[in-house]
Amino acid sequence: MVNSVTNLSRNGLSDWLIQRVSAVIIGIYLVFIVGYLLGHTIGTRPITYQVWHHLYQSEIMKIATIMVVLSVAAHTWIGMWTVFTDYIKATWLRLILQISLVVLLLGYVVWCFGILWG
Amino acid sequence: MDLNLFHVRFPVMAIVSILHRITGVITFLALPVLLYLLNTSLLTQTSFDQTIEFCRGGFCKLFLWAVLVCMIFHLLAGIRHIIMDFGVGESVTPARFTAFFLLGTTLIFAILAGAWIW
Repeated sequence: MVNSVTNLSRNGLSDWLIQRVSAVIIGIYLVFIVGYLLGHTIGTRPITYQVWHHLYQSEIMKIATIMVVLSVAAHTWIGMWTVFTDYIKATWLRLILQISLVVLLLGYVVWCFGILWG
Repeated sequence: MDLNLFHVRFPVMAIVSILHRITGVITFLALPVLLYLLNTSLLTQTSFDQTIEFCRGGFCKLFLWAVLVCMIFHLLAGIRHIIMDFGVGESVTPARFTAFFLLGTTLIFAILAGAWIW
């Protein structure tokens, strides 16, 4: 059996599950945020800094946002792994791309923590 | 044997499948911009005003619309995929129908999103 070292969980079945669980988390957040912004721009009350800042100050929104950014990192890791393994045939190049991706995603996660608590 | 690539006809399911990938990659590429906008919109009242002003620009509107449409397609294609994971709609006829339905629904959402943003 050949072990793949660059996928997220080193196991296709758990990658499969992680991809779907993270998708549901991101999907719910996306629908909420788009709905929230829709409600504030279609009505006669344009969104103010106070309202927006207050939303992201709440604990539940911070937790939800961290859950989403972690889900995005996992989802992108698996998704781009699939794309890389399908189209990049040179192992050294695929390895460089996948490692760069993981470092970048880690950076996004840290950045998001900074945005929420900075 | 006809090997002319321009004569190859892709079934709509194949087109939807590749679009699922492309929209995912585009969303990934948009992540730093979205995180940047989230950051500046939450920092101070002044940076919030600047972010709103920036988002009113033609180029930013086009960008936000394109990313939103990619996300909507990716989300809907993901829901279709998960439904298929449960063994529903896997055979050719329903799969073709849901693929066309997905494209049509995305088109409607794209128009609605455009009306919202502009």
